[in-house]
Amino acid sequence: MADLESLWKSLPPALAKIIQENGSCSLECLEEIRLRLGQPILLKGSDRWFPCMTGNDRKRYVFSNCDMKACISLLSAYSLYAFAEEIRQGFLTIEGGHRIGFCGKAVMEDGKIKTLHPISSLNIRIAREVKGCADHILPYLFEDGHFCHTMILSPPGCGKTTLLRELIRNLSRAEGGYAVGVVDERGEIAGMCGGIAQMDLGECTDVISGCPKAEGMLLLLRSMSPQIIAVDELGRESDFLAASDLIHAGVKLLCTVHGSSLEELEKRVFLGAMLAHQVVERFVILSAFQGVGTVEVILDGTGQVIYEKGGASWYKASGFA
Amino acid sequence: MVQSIGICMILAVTTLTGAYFCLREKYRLQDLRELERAMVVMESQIRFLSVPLSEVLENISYQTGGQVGMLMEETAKAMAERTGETAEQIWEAVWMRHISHTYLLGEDYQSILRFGKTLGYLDQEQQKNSTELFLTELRQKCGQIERRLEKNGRLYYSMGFLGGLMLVIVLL
Repeated sequence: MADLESLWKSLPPALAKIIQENGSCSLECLEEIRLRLGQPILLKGSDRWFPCMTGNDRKRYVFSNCDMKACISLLSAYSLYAFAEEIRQGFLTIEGGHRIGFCGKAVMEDGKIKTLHPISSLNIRIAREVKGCADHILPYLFEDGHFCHTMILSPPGCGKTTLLRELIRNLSRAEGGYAVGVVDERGEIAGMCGGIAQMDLGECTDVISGCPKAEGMLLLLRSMSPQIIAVDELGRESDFLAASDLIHAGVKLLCTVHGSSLEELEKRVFLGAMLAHQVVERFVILSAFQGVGTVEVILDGTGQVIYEKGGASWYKASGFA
Repeated sequence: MVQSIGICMILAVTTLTGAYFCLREKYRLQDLRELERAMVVMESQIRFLSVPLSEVLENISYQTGGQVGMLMEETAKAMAERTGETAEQIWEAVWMRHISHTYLLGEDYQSILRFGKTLGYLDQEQQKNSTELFLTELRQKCGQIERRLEKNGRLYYSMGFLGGLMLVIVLL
């Protein structure tokens, strides 16, 4: 479920009211809110876009400069200066784990983005937890009572991060509790805000956020003695080198990568090498075939199928699509 | 007898009036100094820690006493609860409620409100610069008051007493 109360608190009251009473998009399936200067507010729900209507005559509400100033002020907790790094990276995580994407004129310094000014568009992505979506997958990720090195793969938008978050929570809450270390480079897994994870990741979970994945993994290994390290979207060479270090240091790896099949992964240089050494023991392949979060297949390290698609997607089953 | 009591009363009242003018300046200086201390903390927290404004103001309230400390605490609470659309609105509302409990004058209040207009939407460099500018203004005011007190501090008392004495002579 999404914690929308914290989002309404972070928007100007008048604007929050307009969105809540928009009349076209149900708040239960609200996925994104797009705020662009001089343009109508757009809401995304059930994979469709809806303009935000207001007033008795149901006119489109046009997002003004004043709205933008108030939004930025509230979303940054009146402290834009404190989020310079986040603005530079183009996103900010607020209470409730919701992610605010920024777009505008880039101010450059030494060939790098220094800041965005003025900010012309905001993209609010509603964070949702789908509790229970990993329950039927988890047993396949164990062998002889031990958790296996696991890789979740799917094309973008198929629910990798949601499933990863659920697996982390279940492992952290499992009997005996695994000490799970999470590297949350972009704030999508835990949604850290003021040092508190906005998503429920269980009580045995330590999160390092806003840090490059490779450095984060090694830092967790050194400092927190984790049994499992979870990381989203491995992609760079350094990520795979750090992951290899972990695997050979007795820590279990739980990660996601973009891709739709093992054949695709084999063609990628560093991933291919990782697969060749058969260090990953479980592959969970997701698709959006029957809705977001369809588990196509679970393979073991040798590529043998241990679970094949049986039911509808957990996302659909949870009533969000 | 009655005449002597009357003379004493006139002298006491005029001397106290002189003392009031002197002490008001002293207390105003005290308030401005507290505000200056608060701004020094704010500037360093913005520069080195990049913590949100509500936390900065809360930290300031622990380190600053008197009305200014209380004002900062109330502003921090209002910001944490997001009671206004902008930091400027919250800053202005809190100061408006409490300015009468301080010894600050209208010109000080205007400077405080001007500073409030810069809160919340500037980047780190600009926010730091605006705090520094306000600090410079506060230091100038404090310097002026100190010089004035040094020069005129005793004069206020003497003027009060002598004014009373003159009144007594005239009345007699």
